[in-house]
Amino acid sequence: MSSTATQPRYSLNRKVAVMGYPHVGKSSIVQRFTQNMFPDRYETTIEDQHTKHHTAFHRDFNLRVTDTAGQQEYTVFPRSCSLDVAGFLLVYAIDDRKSFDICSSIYEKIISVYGDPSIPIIIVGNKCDLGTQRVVQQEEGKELAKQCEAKFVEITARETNRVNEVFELLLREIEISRGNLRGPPQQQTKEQTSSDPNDPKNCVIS
Amino acid sequence: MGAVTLKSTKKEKRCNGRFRNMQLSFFNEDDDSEDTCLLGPFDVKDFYMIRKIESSSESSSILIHVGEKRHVISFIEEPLFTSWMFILAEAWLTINCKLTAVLKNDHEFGICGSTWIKYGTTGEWKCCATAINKMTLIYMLSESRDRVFKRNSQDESADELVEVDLRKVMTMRERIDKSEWCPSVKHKRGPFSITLHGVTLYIDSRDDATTTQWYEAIDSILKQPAKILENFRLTGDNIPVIVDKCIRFVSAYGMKSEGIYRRNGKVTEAKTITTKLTEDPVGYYPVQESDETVYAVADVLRTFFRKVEIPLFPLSNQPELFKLAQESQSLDLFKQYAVEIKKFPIVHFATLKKLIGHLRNVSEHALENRASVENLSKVFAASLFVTDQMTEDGKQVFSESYNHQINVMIHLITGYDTIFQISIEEELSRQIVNDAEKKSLNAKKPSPDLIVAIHVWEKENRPFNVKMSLASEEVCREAIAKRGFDGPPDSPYAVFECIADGHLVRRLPPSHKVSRCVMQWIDWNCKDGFLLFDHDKLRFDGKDMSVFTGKVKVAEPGSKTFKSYEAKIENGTSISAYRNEKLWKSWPMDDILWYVGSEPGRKSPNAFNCAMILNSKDGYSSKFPGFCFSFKEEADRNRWLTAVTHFSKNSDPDEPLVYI
Repeated sequence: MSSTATQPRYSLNRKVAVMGYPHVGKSSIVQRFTQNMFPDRYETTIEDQHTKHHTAFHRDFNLRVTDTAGQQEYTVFPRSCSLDVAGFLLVYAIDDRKSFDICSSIYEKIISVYGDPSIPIIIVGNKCDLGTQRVVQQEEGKELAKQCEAKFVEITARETNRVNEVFELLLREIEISRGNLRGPPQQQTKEQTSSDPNDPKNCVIS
Repeated sequence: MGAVTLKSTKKEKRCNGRFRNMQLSFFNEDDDSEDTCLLGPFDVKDFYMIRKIESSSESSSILIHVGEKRHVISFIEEPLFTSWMFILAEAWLTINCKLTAVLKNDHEFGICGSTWIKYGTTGEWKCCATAINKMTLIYMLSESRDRVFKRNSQDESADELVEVDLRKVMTMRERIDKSEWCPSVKHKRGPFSITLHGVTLYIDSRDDATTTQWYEAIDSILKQPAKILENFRLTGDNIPVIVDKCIRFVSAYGMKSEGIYRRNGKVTEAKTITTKLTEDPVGYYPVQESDETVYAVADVLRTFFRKVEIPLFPLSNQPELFKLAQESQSLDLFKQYAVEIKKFPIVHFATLKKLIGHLRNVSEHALENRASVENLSKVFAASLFVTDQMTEDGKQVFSESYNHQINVMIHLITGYDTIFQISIEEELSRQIVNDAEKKSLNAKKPSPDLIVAIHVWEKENRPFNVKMSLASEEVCREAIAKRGFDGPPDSPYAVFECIADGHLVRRLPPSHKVSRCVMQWIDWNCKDGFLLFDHDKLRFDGKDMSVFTGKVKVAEPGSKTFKSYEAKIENGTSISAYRNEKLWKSWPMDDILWYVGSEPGRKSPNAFNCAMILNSKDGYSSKFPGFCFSFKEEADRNRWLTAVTHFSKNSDPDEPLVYI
């Protein structure tokens, strides 16, 4: 995806952060996106920085992804996750009710730190391949997204395409919020046929 | 020695208190000539008890019992209040037992005075000069009494000073049996006791009021909320009880739980456990409610370390540890850690040792619980070096030292044996525990000495206990021999096994051991089984041995649908059921147990039923267990049961089994 463009173009720097409860798969999503692999290990993250070049909307982006610590001992907003973060992925696991419940309080924290409820946020229900162990229904996720004025997506980090779409969706939200992109409809991404971006239903990829 | 403005007694009158020449007296505020003395003078040596009462509202006061009267002195000025207490206590202790040698300026006395103390149940009541300094109870045999009785013998042991660490008190009891009371003290309340690891101290004072004061003083210390590790209730080896409990729980239930210490438990469950462990650290034990409980307990432990004011790794020792963290692992490095960790305060050291040892054990099971040394280090480092308080204060909101902290943890866990100088004995005992754990998994059989209840005539009617190893016949004899047995001694009796809410009944053959029933219930996971001692109404007479064959209605396990089958016993070894001349099912005799009766909910078509249950693990279900055989005639059922019993190897052929 990260094509080395033939004509010289400068890349835009965009910083995003991935947040959520422990053990929901934040690192898995990030690594799926940046390295296209699903880590089969089991490690607690404290903080990781990843970079990836990504081309979308006819532009090159230098996407810097901060993988944060879920463990409550570590402060929610680490230093590198400072004010220049342009958007958030708020992750929960569909097989873990607590991780979903905690999302709204993380959201509140984000808003209270940034003071701007319009900051682009995407709520991600991860592990949707574990459908048999599902305890958080898709509707609940949509409901939460509505309350937070955020987009909602259900994915599994085991699949590449969907993960990339999530990051693209976030990028689009960021660009729209900065006025670099005119609001929808946009044809660049295939599945986004919605005419109303505020309707979270249209963003569900599951 | 000084005069301070104070309020005195019930009238709350302001006056000057003066302590001079070991005498305490109170004067009018503006006039302190000797003849205007309001109260006193009281001789310090007449003081029976001095107690500092700290009330949250307004001012604290000092309560003094002198002679037969009691006086309350309330101070207005807080700083002077403490020094008054100190001066009075010091003076009293000096006079009474020359405790001055052990007195230090940083002592904070909560209460002091004469008490009667008995050390252990078999000890002797002795009159002691006692004081509580912070969280330690100090006592020493009173010299005043020694002077009277032991003037000649300079008994050294009489001067022995005993210190009792109140943090390690396990229980405190108010109502003591009268046989334990102190003979020298006469009052209604009696003494109270505090139990420590291995010993109980009985404490009494002169009268109800003073004993109550002592009780309250100790009680308030035990209930004091703690903010630093040292002030928590401790175990015998200086570990906060709450830490010890959590570690034990996780060791017992969480060694194989995936993501232990990483995944979080239910917040509410963790909160409840924390509250209960704070209220009653010694008496409360976390209970395994579900598989999630162990994660909640793990949370309790982690948050505990975040909530204390001083982190487990004291701030002053952290820079040195961080230096070591940058070195690579070696035996020499571990020895340097050992030196550094020795500098920790004793409670910190003991707790760290326990915790690291535990984490090491957890990481040894990493294949199952996926808690590797690295993961555990990451999770715990942030709790052991930093506290919530520090984060709130803005210190180390994000710190470069995260990596160092984690490294320290990794080093400690891997170098545990060297750093904490684990002796071979400790290592061995750990090994033994590990082996025992493995064994206990294999040995599931309960001991034959296990006790089981036998109900008489009906359920919950005067049940008595017997050892599981007894045979049914022996149980009958015991029942008849019981005092208050209300049946004729020579009529026939038997023990019956009742399951499915008492609807299915089986008579146990006389030689049948009770344990066989119980083991079967365990195998079946049958929870409502009980044993009943009752009249053996229908004894087998051996006359009617014509075997029943013919149509019978049968319902399958869990089902209410009855169908007609031809049932017969084949070759004396199995039972077969035919439908339309075709074999439907066949069961070996040895694999089944027969019960008389049926559950009313099954609505069997005929009145005379019996149930056939497979003795395999999945043979029983809580709803409609077994195959229900429904007979039209009572005689048919009897003949059927007689026959199956006769051929069944499980029972003694000479013994009848039919019971109706």
